[in-house]
Amino acid sequence: MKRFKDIRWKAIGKAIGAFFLSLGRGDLLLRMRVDKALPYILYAFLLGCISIWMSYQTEQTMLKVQNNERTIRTLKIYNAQMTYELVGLDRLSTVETMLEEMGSEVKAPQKPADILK
Amino acid sequence: MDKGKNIMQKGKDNRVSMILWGLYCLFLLLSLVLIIKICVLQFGWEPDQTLVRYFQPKRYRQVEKPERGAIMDCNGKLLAISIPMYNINMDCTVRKDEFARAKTARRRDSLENDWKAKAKALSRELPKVLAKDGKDADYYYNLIISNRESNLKGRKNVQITKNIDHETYLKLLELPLFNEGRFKSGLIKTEIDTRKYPYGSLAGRVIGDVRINKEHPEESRFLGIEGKYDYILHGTEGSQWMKRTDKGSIVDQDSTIIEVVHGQDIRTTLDIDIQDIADRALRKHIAEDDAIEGGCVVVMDVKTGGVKAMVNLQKNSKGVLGENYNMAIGRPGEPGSIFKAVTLATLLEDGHVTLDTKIPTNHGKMADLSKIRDDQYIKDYEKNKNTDRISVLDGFKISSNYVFRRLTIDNYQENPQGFIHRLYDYHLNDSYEFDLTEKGGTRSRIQDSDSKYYLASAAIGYSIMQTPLNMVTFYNAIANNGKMMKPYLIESFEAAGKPVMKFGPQILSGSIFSKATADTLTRALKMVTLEGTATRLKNAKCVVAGKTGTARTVLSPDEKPLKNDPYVSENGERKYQATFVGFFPADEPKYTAIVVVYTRPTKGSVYGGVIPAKTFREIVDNLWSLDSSWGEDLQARAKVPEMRPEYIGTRKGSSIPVPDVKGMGLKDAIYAIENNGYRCHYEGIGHVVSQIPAAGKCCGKGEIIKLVLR
Repeated sequence: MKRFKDIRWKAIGKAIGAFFLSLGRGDLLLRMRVDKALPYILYAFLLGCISIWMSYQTEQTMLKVQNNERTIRTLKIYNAQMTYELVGLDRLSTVETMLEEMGSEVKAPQKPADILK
Repeated sequence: MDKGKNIMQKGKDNRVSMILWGLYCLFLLLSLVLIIKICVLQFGWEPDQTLVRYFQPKRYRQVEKPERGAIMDCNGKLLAISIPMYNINMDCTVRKDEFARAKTARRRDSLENDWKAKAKALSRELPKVLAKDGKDADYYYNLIISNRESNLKGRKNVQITKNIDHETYLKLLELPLFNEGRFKSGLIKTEIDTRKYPYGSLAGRVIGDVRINKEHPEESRFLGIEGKYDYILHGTEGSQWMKRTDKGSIVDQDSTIIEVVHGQDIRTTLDIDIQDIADRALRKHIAEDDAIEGGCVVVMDVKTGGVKAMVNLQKNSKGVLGENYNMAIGRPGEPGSIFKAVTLATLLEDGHVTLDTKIPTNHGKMADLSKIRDDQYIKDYEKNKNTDRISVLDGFKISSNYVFRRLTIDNYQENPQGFIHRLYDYHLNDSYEFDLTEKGGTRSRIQDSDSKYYLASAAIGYSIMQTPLNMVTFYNAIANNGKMMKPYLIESFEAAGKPVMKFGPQILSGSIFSKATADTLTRALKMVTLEGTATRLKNAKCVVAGKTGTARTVLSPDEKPLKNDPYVSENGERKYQATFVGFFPADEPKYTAIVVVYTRPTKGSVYGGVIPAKTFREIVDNLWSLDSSWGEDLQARAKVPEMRPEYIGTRKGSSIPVPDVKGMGLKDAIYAIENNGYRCHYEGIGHVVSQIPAAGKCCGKGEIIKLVLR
């Protein structure tokens, strides 16, 4: 194991200096040969964008689903309300009373309906 | 010269490079500042917690309540349905603080006055939408403004109206101020799941209800089908986590979602039309007689044992009839003479008698049973017919107690268990595990006694307790040639219109007696309506086979009965249970029914051949008229054109031609015309012989097509 005083401080210092110099000159990425991995970086960036876009679209669709569910529920309630009101009118005695009140001559059948064969 | 040029060029390059270098350093500096800021925000900054919730998507648990299942009759008509109703409250102080924070007093007043103007406009419209509440515009305006300006505790939740339906709620949302949304108007809506019964109190006790008392669960009420099948109707709550986004809340798919399970629907065997007919008939005949306490009707389908109607009407203290108690299953009583059919069935089945068997009349006196009173009917019979012998059929027709006591004693006193066991065979001690139970109700009971007096009593329907349901089930077995069907009320449990669990008919006993016995009983029961105690049914629209019964009822201690006679009160009043039970049409039975009427203590008399028979007659006549299966067959003399698919298109544009409806019936013709967006006027009856405009012509939407029928 190297002793502390044996570490090549000078070389490390040079490397750090070169790093900042390169950073200052603006060619750090080129010196690190990052340009070779550029297509992969762009690809990863693209994937990230697609992921964000898809997530946004999913959220929009979910919102539509929620809104549609709300609409369906409203319509179901409306349907139930109307059904309730209509069913109440379907009662035999209610129909007879309504006909009577309207002065109609239509009465309940006096004999079973004839069957056409 | 070249050297000078090079120096100049070099100087120029240096300047450009210095500018670029400067820019680069500037961006580098900015990026460093940004990086440091990010690090500070990330590791060294604690945001204001009151603001955090506005910047983070909030997640909250949303509980989804299950929809309670509906109850339907056998034809799918809704008997009970759940509909949300709404209570509307208002936070009258809405935006008041926001307006108070306005920079100038003028602006503050302007905002407040604008809001009040909208509130005034709202108050003007509210009475129109909430007409049923009977309040005027001033009431609503004062209510809103006084609460806005006061410091009362409830000013943030002032009731505007309650229990309104969805349609009214939607109308409210369109009113001024309310149409600006809840945050600006202070509208507070509370949704209440409400159980609705489209037919009102019809079959009310059978359908029942559920009332949960959260404070005292033991006082919760579970009645009828609603109560007994609450576990089927109720369903299971679901829950999911929602997250808020800029445009609304969405389900957080990463969280646990518990799907809501909606309650199942219950299809019953009830036929609401038959229920209505029976209800109306019973109401009509018992309403006006003050002596009558109430009554019940059960109509049963002969082949299946399905209960088609179960009416239970009782008068309250004000004399108003209502469905308060299910007497048909929960009020057993001594059935009286309708039980003679049971005795006759036993005698016939054991071969002791035929309908023509004759016994001495003996002036209606049971010589060996001295405590039993003489039968007045026999004395009248002796007098009218000038005879001292009576046939079993005649005894049955006039409902003679003497005849049936005598026959039972003579044939079973050596073997009383032979008689009693027969009653067990007829399932007269059963409750059939019926689909309903009545709170506080008791079941039918037969005593296991060998006493001669018990035999003489049981033979005519005393000393045994039978519910109307038990008796109608027995008579149904006669109609069904001895096959006893289990009475039932629940046809199936359904989800989304499809049966999940089916029940259907069950046989209690394949043959409680032979077909010959059933035929003989039917003949005897027919004679009762034709010549006996139920002649009110003689001219019914179809032949009825049935039996009347009038039984005295034991008085309760409150009614002060005599010590030696529990049937008579101290002031000579009696209580009666009058019954008619039978089936129709007698030769090909489709329905069995029982009508039971209960009286209060009275000095008058109520007989099974009067009110119950009249009620039964009305039920028979109405049912007969409604049931097309009893209609006459008509031979067709011409062919009616069938409806073709092209006639029933729905109008989408303006170029739909007038359909050709010549030869059609009116119903089909109207259907075809109105589906194409036209309206219809017609004259005459029969089939369409002409139409104006002619078929194929294109007319405007809503134009009238005139039809002539012949």
